Amino acid sequence: MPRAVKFKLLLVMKLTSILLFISALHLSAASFSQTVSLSRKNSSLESVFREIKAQTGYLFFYNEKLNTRKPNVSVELKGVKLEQALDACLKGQDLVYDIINKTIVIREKVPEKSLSGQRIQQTIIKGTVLDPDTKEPIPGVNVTLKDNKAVKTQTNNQGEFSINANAGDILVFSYIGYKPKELKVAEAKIITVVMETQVNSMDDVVITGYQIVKKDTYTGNTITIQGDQLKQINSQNILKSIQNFDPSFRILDNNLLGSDPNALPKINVRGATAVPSINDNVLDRNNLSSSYNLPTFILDGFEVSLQKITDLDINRIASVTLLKDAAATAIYGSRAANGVMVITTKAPIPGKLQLTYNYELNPTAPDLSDYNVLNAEQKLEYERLSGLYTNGRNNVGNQDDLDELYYSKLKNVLSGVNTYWLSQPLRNTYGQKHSLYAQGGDSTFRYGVDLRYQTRPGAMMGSDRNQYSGGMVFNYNPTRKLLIKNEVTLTQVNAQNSKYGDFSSYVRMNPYYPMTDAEGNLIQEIANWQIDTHLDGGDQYRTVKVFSPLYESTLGNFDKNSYFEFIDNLSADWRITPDLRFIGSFSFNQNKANSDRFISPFSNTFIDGPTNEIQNRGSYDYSTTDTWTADGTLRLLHNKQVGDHSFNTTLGANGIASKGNYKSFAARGFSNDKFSGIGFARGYAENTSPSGEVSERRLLGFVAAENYALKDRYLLDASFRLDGSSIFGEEGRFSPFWSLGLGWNIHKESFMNRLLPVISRMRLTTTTGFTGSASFPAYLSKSIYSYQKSNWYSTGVGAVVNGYGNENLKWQKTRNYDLSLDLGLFNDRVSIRPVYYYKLTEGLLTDIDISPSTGFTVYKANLGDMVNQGYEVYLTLNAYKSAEWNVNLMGNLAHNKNKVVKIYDALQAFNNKIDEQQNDPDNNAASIPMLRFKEGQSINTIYAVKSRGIDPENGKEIFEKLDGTYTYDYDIKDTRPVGDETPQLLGSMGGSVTYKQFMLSFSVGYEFGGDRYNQTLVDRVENADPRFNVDARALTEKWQKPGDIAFYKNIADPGTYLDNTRTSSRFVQRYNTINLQSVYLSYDFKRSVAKKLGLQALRPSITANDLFRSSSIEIERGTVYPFVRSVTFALAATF
Amino acid sequence: MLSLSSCKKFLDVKPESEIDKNELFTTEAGFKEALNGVYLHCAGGQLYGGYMTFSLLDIMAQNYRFTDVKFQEIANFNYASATLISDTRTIWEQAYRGVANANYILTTIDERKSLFRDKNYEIIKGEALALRAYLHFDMLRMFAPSFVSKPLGKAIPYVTTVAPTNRPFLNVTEVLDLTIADLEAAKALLSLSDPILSSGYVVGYPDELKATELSHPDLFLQNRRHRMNYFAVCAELARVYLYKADIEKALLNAKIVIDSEKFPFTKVEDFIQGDLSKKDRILYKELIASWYIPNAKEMLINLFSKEAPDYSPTASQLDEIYEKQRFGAEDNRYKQWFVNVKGQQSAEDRSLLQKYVVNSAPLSNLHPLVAPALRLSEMYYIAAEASFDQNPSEALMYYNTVRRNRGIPDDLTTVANKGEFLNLLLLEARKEFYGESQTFFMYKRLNYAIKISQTQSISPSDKIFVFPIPATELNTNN
Repeated sequence: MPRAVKFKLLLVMKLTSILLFISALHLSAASFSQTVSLSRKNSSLESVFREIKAQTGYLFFYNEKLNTRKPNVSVELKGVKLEQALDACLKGQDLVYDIINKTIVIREKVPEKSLSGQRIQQTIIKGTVLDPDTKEPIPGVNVTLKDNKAVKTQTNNQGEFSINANAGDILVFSYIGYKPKELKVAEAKIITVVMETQVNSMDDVVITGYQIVKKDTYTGNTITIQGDQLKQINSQNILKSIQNFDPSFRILDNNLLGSDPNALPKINVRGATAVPSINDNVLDRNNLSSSYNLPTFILDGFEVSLQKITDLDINRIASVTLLKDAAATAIYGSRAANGVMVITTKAPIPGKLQLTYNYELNPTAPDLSDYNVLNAEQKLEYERLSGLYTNGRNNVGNQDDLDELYYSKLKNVLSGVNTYWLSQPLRNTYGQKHSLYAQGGDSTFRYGVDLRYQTRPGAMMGSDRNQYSGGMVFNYNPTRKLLIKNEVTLTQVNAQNSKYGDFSSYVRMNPYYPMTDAEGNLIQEIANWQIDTHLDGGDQYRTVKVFSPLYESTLGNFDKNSYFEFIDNLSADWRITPDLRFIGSFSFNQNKANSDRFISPFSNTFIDGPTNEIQNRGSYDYSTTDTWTADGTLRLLHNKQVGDHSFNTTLGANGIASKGNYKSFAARGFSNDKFSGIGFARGYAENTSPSGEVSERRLLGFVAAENYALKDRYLLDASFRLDGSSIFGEEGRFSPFWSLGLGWNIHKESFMNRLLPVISRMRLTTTTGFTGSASFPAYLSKSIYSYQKSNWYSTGVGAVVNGYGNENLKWQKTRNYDLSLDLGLFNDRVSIRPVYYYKLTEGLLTDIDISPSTGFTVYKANLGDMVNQGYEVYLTLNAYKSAEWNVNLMGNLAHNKNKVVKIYDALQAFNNKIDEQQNDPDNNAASIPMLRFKEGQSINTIYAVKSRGIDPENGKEIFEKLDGTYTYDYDIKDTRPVGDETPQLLGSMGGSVTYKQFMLSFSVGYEFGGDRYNQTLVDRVENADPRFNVDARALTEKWQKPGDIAFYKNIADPGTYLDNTRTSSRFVQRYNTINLQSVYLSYDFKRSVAKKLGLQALRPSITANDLFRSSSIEIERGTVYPFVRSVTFALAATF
Repeated sequence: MLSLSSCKKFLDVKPESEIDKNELFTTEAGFKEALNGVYLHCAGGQLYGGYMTFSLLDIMAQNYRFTDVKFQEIANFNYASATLISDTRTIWEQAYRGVANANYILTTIDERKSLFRDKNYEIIKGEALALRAYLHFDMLRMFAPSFVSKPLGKAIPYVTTVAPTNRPFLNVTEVLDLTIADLEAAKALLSLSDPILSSGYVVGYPDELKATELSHPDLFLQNRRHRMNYFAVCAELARVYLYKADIEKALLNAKIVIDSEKFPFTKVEDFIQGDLSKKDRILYKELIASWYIPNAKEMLINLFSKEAPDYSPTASQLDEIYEKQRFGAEDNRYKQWFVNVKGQQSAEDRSLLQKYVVNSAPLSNLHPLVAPALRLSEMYYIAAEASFDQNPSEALMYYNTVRRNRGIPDDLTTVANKGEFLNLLLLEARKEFYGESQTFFMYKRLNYAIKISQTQSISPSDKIFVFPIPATELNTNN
């Protein structure tokens, strides 16, 4: 063969293989349906090609040494297929062509012979390629010879192909969404190929944000969930959906805010690793472990806020990976102690413009099944029994007045007034979501555009959260070695809170109150009560007015907030050699948030204010927060296989800077409802001035990680991160974190062969390491002066010291140990993965008390240790599989035990302060169990005074003192651990059934063995103020006369002001619950049917969330905002 | 890659609405701001702009009548009551926080001496020392036995350093000596530097033509009487020496203030002025030092002058305090400082204190709202007490001077003995310092019974005079 020809051939082969490689990677679905019309006489090939390109959009690709200028082409074509046109044009030119993707490769005809030079008899193999599920032909499948990639073709519209091959050659079939299939050419000349669907190509790798590691050789403990799986569970709430896949990821019940669309969830992963400081809102028990124990969220490589995740369009998510143990998280160093959640969004796929449209309709209905209030008649009876109308009790006036009051109410009841206040502020709603995604492009330039509009109306009238987002991403490969990506995302979220106020104010309204007066107008002041406070002086008798909460809804009040967010992510990926990549990425995130709150001058809030302050009624509170974050990462990735050794090395540096700028002011004095603009305010709120705060923090980290495997059997992961943060003093600014993981792929050992296929996979891994957390306020390590800007002294502005900065403050470090076994049975049809972990957090950042004569009362220091240990078990089972059926079951469970192992005297002082807080009647905390610290107890321990029940003699509660003696007198010092909220087990179970085009899946969440302090029993039964509506149990289950064996105290002890029952073990109950979290049903239209509708794919589906719930305790859930049940109807269409 | 020093630089974030201590003290302005900060802190509602001037101590001097149990418990010296426990703890914490703020300045200022222009180093250091002494002395007067009762009794820690480590409790004499040392040092520094010493510095109302208190081009050097000026330090020294029974030095320092003639007695026409915007309610020119509290208006209305204020004497109680039968008819304090309010139903008439009333807009005030710290009249009382042994007629002269300026024309000409004189002085002081919390300290210093009414009194003892050290201190520092 002449040298030149050989060179050309090699060149062409090389180019085609590259193109093939790319098309195999990105898998175009192009099919040859275009037609060509052409009329030429003695034209050059060049001009013919140009014309065909113009008509079909197909590109031509040829070596420039080909002479295409010769005017020797004469064709006359009308509406013929592209192939025919090309055949005609190239006739007699000694040229052949290949169509790859949307490119036509022209090359010189070479003598047919195999590369080895041996001549073997060639035959033409013909066949059809079919889809495994639908048994329909698949057009556009790439077919090549494994040993000679130059020989290739694609299936036509009927799924047919023909290819030249020799007996013994291996044919390779590849197409997007299917596993590549190899087939040896045998005698048969006509074959039928059934492809195998590829469920998830990303199943095989773990994306940690810094590395992409083969799952088989990675020892870190991670859970990966695909976007589609998430959607099936709960398309409205990403986080709730994740909880279903990993029980150690817990969204804490928010009994107050229920299903408020504007409330942020509280999350922890594998227990709490931080303790609160006394200055935080200690009253809200839920709050304690929330902000301190949040995992770190990484979206496409960059850290984002929890808010960003809750507002994310679920359709954009490609996968979510939860990193839990040290080996997986240590690369995030100081941010890793509470786990890391890595989210990747979908990348555009090249090809013709493809449009995907998702529609969701989400009707919701408030769930009031936990509420059981008295009706009008029962309520009045309860009031009578509790002594409201008996002279000398907690009331005012003589018996005649009281009788008159009673009978006036009885008249209301008898005349049929029985208002169901609970339903007044509520509504059934439906939210909608339209989301559109367009993608396309070729191998050098790909793009994706997404748009979303989503409404999320809440159950309380007027509350909603509307989200608009749009984004654009492009990938650009100027050369095969460089990939440049840029993604811009814009999000606008407008949220509104209901002007109906707290739901609890409706629950408390007496049913015998009418809503409207005789004319049908809403009443503002419905009633009033005279109360004897037993306080000496002028405060003894007080009139407490009852305002209708409904009245508020008729006013011009509003409470809304919104934010606009701009994110730009830019990255460049340089493949220096096939083994070595350098990736630089940079993200800029800007968020502008506003909050506006107006309360009408006619509101109940102001109605009782002093009359000389009338001009200052009405309030407007405005605040704005402007935040930006810049996050940059440089990474060097090296991947090398040397004999039996495979190395995957990552080196990186990461810098984050963020700055938040908060400004606010409060205006007062509005003339009426109509003029609610801030410009109508009379002035600033008295003694206030505009306020502002700037907070800034920076982080710098250096990462090194190695993933090593010997013969794919013996695995080692090691990582190291050096993190520096601006929030620490110069002494402790940098801190190292590291991890080590060992793994053994037992199933790859030869001695396991005889156990095949019973034990198809068996892997043992163990990891350990140090991770940190630094989620506490900036500047604790410095002595900071703050300026009293709004309060100048007569001789200038002053600055005062906030507290002693602890220059020696260190990172709070968590030592992790993890052991897990990954077991696959019967060809992986059954997979079981038990995991055990132990986390020791040392040097908890806590407030320690110092003597006030030093100038300050608290000081932050690293004191105290806490342990979290537990286990998790994951089970999946492919129960049944046939051509039409596929049944999968899954289940998981988790147990976490948290223990405070060491505390210092300082934390004892914390307990004393809590005692004091609970003793202070102004705090309204007397009957709420609050957090305390005791060695050996958990952070979830419930502390209260031990109760021996209600004395049947007199209806008083008997308490047990610490020394074991009994008393009627409550003493806060007798407080002790009386229960633990930690469940013995929690998790979820579910399954999915596919039958032909149908898919049904469900998921049940459960929790057993924890305790709960039933606040409803305390607030709404035991201490229920008889002047307001109460839980039905208050009427029926309270002690009434000597001899009654009752759970609740004397009904005639009205719980007002003086004799409220305080935290008592009586209200600790065992909490077991089971919840049908989701049921999902979908139908995938057959490709052929979809085609007829002009679509590529069409899938309608229904998801129902929180349909059923059963719990061992009766507690009012969603007290400020009720919970809802919801159903989502969704439609996904691809054009 | 990035060098280590640029890493460090990157991580060194400077807060914007706040400032690192090390950063603040790199400029003279920073020291000024820190010093203003100490004044702001002291003028706050939990120290001299509130608790320390308007409530506990004045209630204990039995100046009011209460129906509310909460306040009555304070008047009864029930130190176990929740209100007193929490209020005294707050005062203790806040006073020592003030001390810590002063110490931040004092522990840094000497090494940064080169930063200062003019006499600012002397002024700032002198004032910071004076503030530290002033705060400690008041804590001593509250939480330790009096010098007369137990000169070596356990007192309080005297804190001069900045660190979160415990300081020992010293005895009364030791604390007094340290207080005096700080004040003498302050006096020496301020004697060289304080603009108030210049003859051009004329005390007066802000709008008064000849007053120059606001004329210094540097805001920091204006309003010397809102700060621990040279005379305030002398006056405080007179107070401390008298407490330590060193009458010689007490007299010396009181006379420095009196003889300087810097502080004129308030003119009667200003005191009794009918035009509210020209009325001097607080006797502003006589204040040697005071705390600037423009934002306390609401609080003071609630305490003293709203319809049913927290603190008010009954009309008859007030008549007794101001000896209405003998001098009250002429005493301008009695006539100008109180407004009689008819009691509802059978309740007694009440007298509401007008000393701290601020005119409502659009009316302006003659002087800013301040909480008195040291008054000229107290110097006269100290001088009177300190000179009585040596020169009784001079003592009577001091006594009569204040009385005449308050409108009482009949001079005291003879007095049987010092005991009787001190009783008379105490009666006068109670009138003068009504609502200013100084009277209690006088009872305590002299170890005299606290008068409730003509017939009732509380006998003197450490049980009532010594505030218990707050539990938060004892728990962590014993």
